[in-house]
Amino acid sequence: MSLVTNTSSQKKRKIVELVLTERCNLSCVYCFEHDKDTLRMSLDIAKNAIEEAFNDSSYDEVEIDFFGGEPFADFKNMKHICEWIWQKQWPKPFIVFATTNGTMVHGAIKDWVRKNSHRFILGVSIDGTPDMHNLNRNNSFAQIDLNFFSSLWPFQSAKMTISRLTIPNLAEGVIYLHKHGFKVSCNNAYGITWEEEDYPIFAEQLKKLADFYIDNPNIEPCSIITMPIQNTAFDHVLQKWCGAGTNMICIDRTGTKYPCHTFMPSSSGNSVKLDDMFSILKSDNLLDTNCQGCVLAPSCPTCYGINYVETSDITKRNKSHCIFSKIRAKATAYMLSTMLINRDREYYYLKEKTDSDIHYLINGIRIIDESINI
Amino acid sequence: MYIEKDMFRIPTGMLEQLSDISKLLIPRPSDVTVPPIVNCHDGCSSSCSGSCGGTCAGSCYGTN
Repeated sequence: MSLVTNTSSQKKRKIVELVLTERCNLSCVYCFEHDKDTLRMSLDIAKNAIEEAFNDSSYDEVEIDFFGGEPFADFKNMKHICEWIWQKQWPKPFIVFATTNGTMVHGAIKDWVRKNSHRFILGVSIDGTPDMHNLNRNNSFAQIDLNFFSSLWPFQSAKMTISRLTIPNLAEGVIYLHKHGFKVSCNNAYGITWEEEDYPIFAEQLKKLADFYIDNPNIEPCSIITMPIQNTAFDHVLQKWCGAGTNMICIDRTGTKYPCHTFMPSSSGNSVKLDDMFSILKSDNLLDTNCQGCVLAPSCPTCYGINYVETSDITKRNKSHCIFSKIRAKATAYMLSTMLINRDREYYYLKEKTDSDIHYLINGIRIIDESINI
Repeated sequence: MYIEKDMFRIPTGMLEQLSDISKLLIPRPSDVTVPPIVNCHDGCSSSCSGSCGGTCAGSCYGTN
């Protein structure tokens, strides 16, 4: 059994997210988990949740995600559950994954992870250069072996979150991670207060990033500058941006089910009516009424859990992200227009695009150019 | 205005060139039903396009 590289699978994947512990050895400046407890997940709860996911006939494959807190804070349980999964025969293909801050992956833990890296994927959070990371994440950079993560799982993006402290160095941070072998998934932190003075800084940084990717065709542009602007060429608005509450289920240490971890009490408080949340998330229309008529609506992602945390309404977005989205759209259009004119340079981003994809990308660029003024 | 004027300006000549390319690539009507789902990374079934604000737990890898 060999590790499958990155994939564009059309298979329906059930994601079961196990919050093993809320304990974490860091306290990041943008952390959305506040009222953490020290409970541990029982093995029975974990095993039942996994068996239930495999038994759901609506799905072709299963992803088991370990989450926290920091999941390696309960390595003993995580190891036990993994080895239980691997020694059983399951009716569907599956993957085991964990999100980690990387600081506890050392010694015997590291040896175990390396031994199982063909069947256990880690996604590490790194917020850019050592200085940027240390500003956001408790001076923890020196505790992370970057090469360990980038070499074992080259297709897994590093998760880079931008705070007000690090936004002036956004481009430098992304480029740093690329130079250390990472793909990068990068976004502005939610749940913090952004100010108007952050917008021109953000734009300047995206311009630097766009020019970097234009000059480096072989590097896959990070998520912050590849907004799906082609969607603006369609009348139809995407109904839902993520699998929360449908193809994704989150289980806490008591066995309670949530649409995703942002609906847990540690993030959203204790007042969440979970039945209502699951019901709303199955709805056909989750578009913020304030976004109706916005040309960017089909392209502008949102996080329903964070919306709920910030506005007590799944659909209502924090409007401070509107200008960021518009800047992202302009930067994406600027970068892709240059790449499309110079397609002979064989840009990574355009490699697998079909003629139809290119057609809609160009329409999206035109629409953004004509419609978005910031 | 939040950003410097012309920071992301696409020259008119370039837009015209793109328009010419696009006309050659008009998809068949049967290909046009819904907008493409764009995941933040291949293989991610959450389709959140990076919207999760650092909360995403999804793997970029396919199943074994």
